[in-house]
Amino acid sequence: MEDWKKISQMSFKEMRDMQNRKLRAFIANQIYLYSPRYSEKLRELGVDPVKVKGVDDLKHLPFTYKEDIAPTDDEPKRHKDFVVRPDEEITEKYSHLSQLSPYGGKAAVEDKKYDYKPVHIHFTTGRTAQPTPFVYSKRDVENIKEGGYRLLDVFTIGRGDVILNAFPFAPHLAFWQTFFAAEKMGLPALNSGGGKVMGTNNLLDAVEFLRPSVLVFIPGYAYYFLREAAKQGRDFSPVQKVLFGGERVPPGLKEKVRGLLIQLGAEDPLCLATYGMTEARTAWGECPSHATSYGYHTYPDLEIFETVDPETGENVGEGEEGELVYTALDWRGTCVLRYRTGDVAKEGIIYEPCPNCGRSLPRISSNLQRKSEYKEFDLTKVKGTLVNLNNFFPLMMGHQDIIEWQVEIRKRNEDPYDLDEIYLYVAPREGLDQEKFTSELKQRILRDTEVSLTGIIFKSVPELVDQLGMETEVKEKRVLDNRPDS
Amino acid sequence: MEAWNKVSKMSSDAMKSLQETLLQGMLQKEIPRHPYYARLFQEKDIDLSRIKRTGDLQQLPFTYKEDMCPSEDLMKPWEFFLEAPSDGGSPEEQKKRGGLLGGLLKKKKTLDTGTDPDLLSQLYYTGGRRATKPVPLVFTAYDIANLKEMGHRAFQMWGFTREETVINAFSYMPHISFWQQFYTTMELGSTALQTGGGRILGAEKILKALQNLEAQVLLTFPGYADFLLKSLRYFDIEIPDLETIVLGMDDASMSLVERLKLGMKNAGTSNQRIRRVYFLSEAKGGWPECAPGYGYHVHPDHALVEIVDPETGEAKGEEEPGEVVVTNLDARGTVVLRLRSGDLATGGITYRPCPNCGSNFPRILGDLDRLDYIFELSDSEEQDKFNFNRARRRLHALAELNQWYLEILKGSRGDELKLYFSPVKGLDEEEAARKAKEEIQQETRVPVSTERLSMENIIQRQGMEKKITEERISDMRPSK
Repeated sequence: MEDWKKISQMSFKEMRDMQNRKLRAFIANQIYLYSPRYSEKLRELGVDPVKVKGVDDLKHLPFTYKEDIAPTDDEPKRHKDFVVRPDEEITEKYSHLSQLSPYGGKAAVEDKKYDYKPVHIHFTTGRTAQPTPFVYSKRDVENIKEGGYRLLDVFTIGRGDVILNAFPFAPHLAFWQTFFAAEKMGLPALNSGGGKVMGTNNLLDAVEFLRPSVLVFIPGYAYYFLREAAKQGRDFSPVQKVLFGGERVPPGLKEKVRGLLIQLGAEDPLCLATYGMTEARTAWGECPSHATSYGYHTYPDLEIFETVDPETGENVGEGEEGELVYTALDWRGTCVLRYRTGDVAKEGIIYEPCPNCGRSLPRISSNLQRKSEYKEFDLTKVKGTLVNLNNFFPLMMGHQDIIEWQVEIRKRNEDPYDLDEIYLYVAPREGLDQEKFTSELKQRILRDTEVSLTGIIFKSVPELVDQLGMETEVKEKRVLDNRPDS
Repeated sequence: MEAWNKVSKMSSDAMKSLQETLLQGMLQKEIPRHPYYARLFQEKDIDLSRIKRTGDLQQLPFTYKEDMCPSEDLMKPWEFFLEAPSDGGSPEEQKKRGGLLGGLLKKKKTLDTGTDPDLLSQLYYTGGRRATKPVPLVFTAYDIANLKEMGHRAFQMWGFTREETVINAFSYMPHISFWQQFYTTMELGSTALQTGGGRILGAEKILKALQNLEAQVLLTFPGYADFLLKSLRYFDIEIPDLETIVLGMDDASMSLVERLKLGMKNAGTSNQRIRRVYFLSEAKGGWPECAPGYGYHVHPDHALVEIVDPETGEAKGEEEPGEVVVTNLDARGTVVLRLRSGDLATGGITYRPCPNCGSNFPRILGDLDRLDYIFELSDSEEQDKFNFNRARRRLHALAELNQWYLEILKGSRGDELKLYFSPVKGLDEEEAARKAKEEIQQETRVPVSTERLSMENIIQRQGMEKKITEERISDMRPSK
């Protein structure tokens, strides 16, 4: 990987030249030789690896979809084909010189182990397919650490800061990216494992004990956690920044969280979002600002992002809406090329230097919509209409009168062949005119999601917190599909 | 910490001398910046310069877990944290460091490399089993380096190399048990999956990981290892590559070790090795055992262990049973002196060379009893001390029992025990109940009843996949 400061100041041409150079080497020396899946695919398509000269040639390579990698009952080890690993025959053929060299020998073997031997594993969450392992070699661990360092640097977090990592513990990117980031930067941290591991009250105590300046959270849990803190009159005055990951953060939720933090004694706290994916094995952040989102600052020496038309797969221009397509650059372990993320960047990718921090890194629009859930998970045929349940998130999370919410899809009379019904459970703030609130909410939902609710069911906050599994689940359950199988 | 090879081959005299040097360093250089002890020793007018030998430690008062517990004052654990030395230090120290500029340069260097021994790195917690709340313990970069070293020593002792694939199924919490294993596998370069245990991934995913990754080593707590082995058939999973299970976080008695070996054999694993580690949070690292029955090898260059009478606090002789008391010799961040662990070493401590691995480390022998597992029971006539530790070992040894759970109840004529159990399939249920009852009644006179339940029901009661380690006993008597 390159020097972070250097790549942050490169011109577009310099950056593209670097990417072209790295991509050429990566495809020819790693992917074509050592990735079983891509090696076979490229041969099958008759793609000469030497002819992939740069980013513009990526379009000659096929897309990779989640379902290409995810294990199935028939092929439980399919993901292994995406792991870059020299087999013995190839090593014999290409590496014998280094092994025989007077400077090679044991050191050459150590280098190979450093480069290729898996030492750490993350899994996808498994919402849309079976959980898929993504492996890191020691070399990749240096990359995730560097990614974490850069993430914190973009957030202007550094020496003197103290981190409370409240991401739920799991072999998932969010928890580990935060751990590696703090480790690389040498910052004190409590890697708590979240409310499920420590319990919310112990975690509240930990904030007062450790006095962190940075809290790292899943948005839904953060809001719940800070409400509890406010209820108990806790002192969170040292908190300066809250970092979110794991799911989208609508602007309305940022405002709610910021309001609570101010109530808890924090001075002018910043709420910042990250974007990351297991397949990319690192995460990116937006540079700090209250009012404007300047987009996620990516690492051009570690990946290439394209934006494509979700339907046709054609590349779209700078700043144009498109699905993000990710290609690993200079990684080992599980590497994917032209991976269709399923995330649509509404304002695309921008290559202009960031007007806020001045870094000339490619920036992904902060306005992201999860197409993958839309297509594979939440695109639900309710009452014969295709519904994007993702649209509930910004609406409900940002709604100033709603404290907690959950959506449930059922079948009328629990008959698998009957009509679909969609209910919204909601815990509103106290003192609302329920009739007026219900009517306004139904209209807004109809306008924003094109869903006509079967009903709104009012619940108390504790009831709904329990129903969401806030303290018991790795991630709270916002959408329940309780339709019986037909 | 010292080099492993050097320490493991030290004569007992050399080891004693090393411990005394470290103890004097701790007491004279570090403790003056320890808020709790500095104040305590001043109040009690204790002159630390008079404590030269390990035997002199008895002049210091014990520390109890309750002294550190943040139940009433949230900030109390900070009193056990070594304050950073002042920037300049004493004139002598400044001179040694090359004057003020030299000191600043060194400070900058250590900060840049993250090796400042006093820089807070991680906050871990105790398991919280005795104290009302888990106690936060500060680990500095220095402590993390020691934690890695201790993990490395354990792996070396067991002959693990980076070629072993490891599934770390210790329950995730910010605790040394999980993190020591993480750092060790990462440093060594083993292929490892850090699962976070059953309450994070669940048994099926952990077993599938063992199968798909063809893992040779499983790290987990004893009850969960037993549960995983018993769940293999249910999930239709085979783990022929498994060779070693490393146990920690809870006492793994020899009866349980034997049970697990049998479980591994029945599961068709290629080898049936069990290794144990004694994790005492305040000791800031785990003490491994080279092979079952040879005792937990204490790192003598890191901690000093005394064995005392749990009632009187008097020092016990070599290999006499007593409570484990620990003093940090080489730690920063949170530091404790003479901490009463609440764990009883049934075989005491020995300084003889280990007959198995030949090292000269002090070894804690026998099964570990938890003092909070000794209950006062009363029947209609008299008071009775019920040592659940022993009852637990007896029940673990019963091949007829699949899972079990014990409740202490208040009956009309005094206290009673109720055993919930699920027998092993195909074995006589009544015979299992009779034997279990007999075993418990070896330890108490109060009435014992039994009830058969499904394995799922008992697992739920134990909190097997909900808690850090499972609970086998619950005191249901109304609190006085």
